[in-house]
Amino acid sequence: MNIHAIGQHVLFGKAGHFLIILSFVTSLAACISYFIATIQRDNLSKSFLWISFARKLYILHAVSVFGIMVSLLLLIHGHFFEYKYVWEHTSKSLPTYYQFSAMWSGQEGSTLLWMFWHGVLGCVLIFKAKDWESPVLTIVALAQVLLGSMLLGIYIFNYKLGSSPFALMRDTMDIPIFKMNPDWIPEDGTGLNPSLQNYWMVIHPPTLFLGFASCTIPAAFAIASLWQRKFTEWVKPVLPWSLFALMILGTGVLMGGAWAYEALSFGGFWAWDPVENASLVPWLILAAGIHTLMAYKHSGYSLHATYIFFIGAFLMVMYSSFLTKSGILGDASVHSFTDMGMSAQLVITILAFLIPAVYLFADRTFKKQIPSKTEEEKLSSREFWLFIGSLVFIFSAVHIIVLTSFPVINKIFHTKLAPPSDIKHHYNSVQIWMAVLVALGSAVTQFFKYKITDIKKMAIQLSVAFFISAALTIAIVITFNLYQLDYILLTFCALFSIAANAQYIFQVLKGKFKISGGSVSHIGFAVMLLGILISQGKQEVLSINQYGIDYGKGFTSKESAENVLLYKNEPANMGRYRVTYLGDSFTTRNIYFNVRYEELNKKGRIENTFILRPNILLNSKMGNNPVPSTRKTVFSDLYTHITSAPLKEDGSQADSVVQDTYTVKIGDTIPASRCMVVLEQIDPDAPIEGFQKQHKDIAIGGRMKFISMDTTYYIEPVYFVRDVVATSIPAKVEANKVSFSIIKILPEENKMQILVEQKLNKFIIMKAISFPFINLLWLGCLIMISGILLSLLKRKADNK
Amino acid sequence: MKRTHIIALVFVAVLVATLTVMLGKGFSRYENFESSYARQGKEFTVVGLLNKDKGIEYNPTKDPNRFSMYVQDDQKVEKLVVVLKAKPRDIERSEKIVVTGKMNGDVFEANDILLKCPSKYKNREKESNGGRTI
Repeated sequence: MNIHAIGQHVLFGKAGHFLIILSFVTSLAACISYFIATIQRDNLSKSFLWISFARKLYILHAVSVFGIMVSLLLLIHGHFFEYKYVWEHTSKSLPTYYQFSAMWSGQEGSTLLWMFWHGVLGCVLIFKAKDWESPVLTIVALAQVLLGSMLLGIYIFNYKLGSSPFALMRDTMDIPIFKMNPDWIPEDGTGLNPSLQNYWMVIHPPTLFLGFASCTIPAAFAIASLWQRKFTEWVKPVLPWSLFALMILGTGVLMGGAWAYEALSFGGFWAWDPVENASLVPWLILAAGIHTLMAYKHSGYSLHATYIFFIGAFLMVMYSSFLTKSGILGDASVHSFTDMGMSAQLVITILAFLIPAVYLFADRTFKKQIPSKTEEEKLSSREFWLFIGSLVFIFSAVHIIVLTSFPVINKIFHTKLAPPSDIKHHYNSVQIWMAVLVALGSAVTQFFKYKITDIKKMAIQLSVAFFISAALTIAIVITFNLYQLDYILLTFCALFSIAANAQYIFQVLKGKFKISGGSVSHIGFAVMLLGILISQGKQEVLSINQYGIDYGKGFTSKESAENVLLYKNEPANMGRYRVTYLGDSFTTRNIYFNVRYEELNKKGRIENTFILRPNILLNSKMGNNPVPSTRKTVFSDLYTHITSAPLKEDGSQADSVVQDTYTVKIGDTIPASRCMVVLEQIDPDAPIEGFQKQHKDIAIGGRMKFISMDTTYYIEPVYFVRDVVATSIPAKVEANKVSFSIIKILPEENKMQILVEQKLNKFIIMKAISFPFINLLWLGCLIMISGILLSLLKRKADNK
Repeated sequence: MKRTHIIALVFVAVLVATLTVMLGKGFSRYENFESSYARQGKEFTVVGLLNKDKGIEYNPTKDPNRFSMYVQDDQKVEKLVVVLKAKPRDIERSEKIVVTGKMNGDVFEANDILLKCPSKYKNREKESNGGRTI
């Protein structure tokens, strides 16, 4: 008994809960104070008083959100399993660095992370936003109020508002043990989902949520500018913020892809899963918004579109959190959270921004207050093509979000739409055209000038890049056999974009890298597209199962036979590799499977040998989780993944005996592992080796042709009856560890029942995929992110 | 009307057309076994429960890319479902199964499967024995 300890644990939770309420109250007060400061703009002294009051509140709020995170982390670190969140997401054996991943693996934790970044960004705005501070922070604080309400976990008239991460097990779970013993504490937690136990999960969620949080800022500026009717002054301060959001959100999304590639078993970096889509869509819309903002800044066009895009990107972030947190994706995604009864709250959060934003936008538009030019932009102007380019981004975003929203559409309209079974193919085949257009646009648009362009001059400028990339395209298409119209076009457009942007940097910008952020990010984007195209279009499943049974029409078994069975120490050829499963090795948490790859040259000689060690993370509570292993080289990755392996109770690999019974007639074939037999003859008086038959004995033999990969011969199991007692004398084939016995004779049908018993070596079922040039994707990401960073730094410097 | 407005309208029209064409053609629908039985060979998505008593047949030594099981849909109609994939781990503990494929005779041939695993609280009765008391 340790009374002291209980007191401490409860204190942590109490402190945490107090901080939640404090952060909620301070955000509400900050929001109201900033609001009053904004509407009292004309009364400078009064407004200033409210602002300085609001600042203190907001900083206190940010500090208390930080405090909530610290308390939660202490609970997790101390293994206080009386707290439901700790019990649900962690266990004693969880390594310390994954305690961070555990903290944001639940709904409450991820909301907290989001609020934390809003807190940090808000504090930066307090110091940097100058005139914009009070209207912008009114909106940011409003977001904090709404998000904070999701952590309250209090009841108001029987409606549960939010869900607190500091809830105790005994208060939230109705299980009998608490009636008998209210002080009961679970010995250990259920542990973190094994697929989240990956280093990417330590850094991907904070980055992604910083991206989400930073999407709020451009939208807050947009709403503030509509609200304050300051339609041009917001452009300069919003530019660095929007570039920051684009950079961080992009990084976060790509880190998610890297995690999926390394830790998940679907074999790729992008599966068009609803949760992935929901984080990509805001990025696309934001990218569109930044391009129209540039158009507006230089030409005065596209301001309406910019408002819609910036606010839309933010609403899409909110909508995506609704999709993942409301449980509505239940049947559509493996990643979604379960419903916590907060759907109404999530919808209200979206509406709380949507309604005022739509009202302000509509009001300012109908009153014709938003500046817009009456004469049309010229076809040869850059602003026109920037607008068209951003429409392509929007098209892409709308396509993705409509498909992802099927469960929502079904719920609202009572329809029964389901995504097509080959969803990846569907997305790819539509989105590839978007990629072609974006690549083409990013190549050409910079050579247009604002207002009007000399097209002839431009054509001459671009011709060099055009011919270079056309020649390269032909080379690439031939090398990689990319004979498909969309592939060829994308290859060309991506190369054209790289060449044209490089030309732009050196010819037009005279090689000044500081001002070439846009072009650098375009190059990065194009390199990324090339990487995606080649690694996906030319990905090769090496582990095609050649011994599969053809199930006839309707089943394209060849396409889906992507897993192959490998017996221990028995090499199999896959593509240009000879692959051998060498056996397993253990740690306390993992079982590793050593798979040797021998790369063969055309003469069949071994050129290169390496061992991959895909493993299974053992977890008795949530199920074992396979972790792939990938050999990375400069030009190609080889991904290897254990689909399944027979394991014993304790997790070690089991030997297995397979038994099967077949009823056969003459001419029938019985398959066994790596061999088969054909029943050729039923022998009514079969000889039995080393045994003298008596007069009344019955010995029925089944003469079978045994066929294996290296040999063919005859075997004959016998069904022997003496004085009503039947014995089966099996025929064994030692080499294949298989035996055949006749267990029943069906004389009327002229058939017999054969039992096949086969002892199997240890085996694994694995999948191997090669991804050529996937490093282009990662390289492109880095270039694009650095390009955005260059632009960000330049815009910041401009504002000084 | 401005040129950009016209383009925006064309863009919306193309978008709507693309989506409707897609909705009409390649898309699957959530149905049950009975309605997909009536329309053999057409692709549907069925949500159901795994019949754990009848077991799952997976024989990797013969074909690692095929397994079969009995699934009961929300109308309590049970069908044999054959999936041309390796058996997903954890299928035994799944509480809901979403299969996409078509009916061929009396067998549902699925080319895609998604599992919903139970919330972790299912085991709480069992775990409550190992707890500590203060």
